[in-house]
Amino acid sequence: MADGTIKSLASRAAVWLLGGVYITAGALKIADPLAFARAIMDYDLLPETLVPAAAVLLPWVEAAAGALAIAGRWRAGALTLMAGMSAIFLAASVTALARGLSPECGCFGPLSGRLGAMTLMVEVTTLAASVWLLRVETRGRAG
Amino acid sequence: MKTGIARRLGAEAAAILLCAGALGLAFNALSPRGVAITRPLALSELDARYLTADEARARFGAGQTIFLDVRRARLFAAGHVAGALNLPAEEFTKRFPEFAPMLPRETGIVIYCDSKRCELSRQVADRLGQLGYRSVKIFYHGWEEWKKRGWPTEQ
Repeated sequence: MADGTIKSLASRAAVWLLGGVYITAGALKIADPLAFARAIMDYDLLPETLVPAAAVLLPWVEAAAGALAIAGRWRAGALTLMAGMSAIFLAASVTALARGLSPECGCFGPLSGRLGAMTLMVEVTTLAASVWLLRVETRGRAG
Repeated sequence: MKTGIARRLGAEAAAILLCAGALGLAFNALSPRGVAITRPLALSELDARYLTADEARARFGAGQTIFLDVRRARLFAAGHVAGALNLPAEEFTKRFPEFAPMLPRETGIVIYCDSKRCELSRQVADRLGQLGYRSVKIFYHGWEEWKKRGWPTEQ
């Protein structure tokens, strides 16, 4: 099998996986914005007045980015947002841990565990995958 | 070429943000589980066990409530709510048996630590809940606020 075909299959599978993760994460949080707002508060990063709006809007951006990436519509934009969100989530987690906090990660709504090594691993993986896919996507366009 | 791609990425990302944001706001407005986005969450929305400073003071004034300071002994010794007991959160497992006789299950307990949203208070409240305590509250703003307001303290 040619290298290009393997790469194309791998990137397609990665888009589906990453998109699926983002859709799941968004949908679980959309169902209970109050619980997500509490999780954001526990990170102690955002001003309290911005927390409810973030809890309402962020899950929709996650779900929309995931769905659009899979659908192949505005994929580069969706991947850009996913890379940005993954970077923000990773930074939030690292700073929370550095401040001695161990909140519920809030990443997957009621399925979330406490913030820890596993969370960081998932965040690093989604960040790396979205950056790689974005490169693949934009190279395709440039070419 | 690169500028063109960057511009397109930005435009697509902005369009997704706008559409998803509009959907989110509309859904939140119509959903029975929607939250008010123009004000911070009320303490009762954050955790039903939270008490404001005034509520904590009212319970203190009414008596029959035990204030439980879960900070380290050194901080407790430097100053605490008058009459409070000191059960440091990190020593909970080891020292709870010695405190159990002073903490009847039917008595109201108000837990506090240093400042607002201190996680130690929630940890201890969770542990007491698991042990069957049903009247456990958390003074959200903690010791710093109590001291600032000039309410009864001791060293």
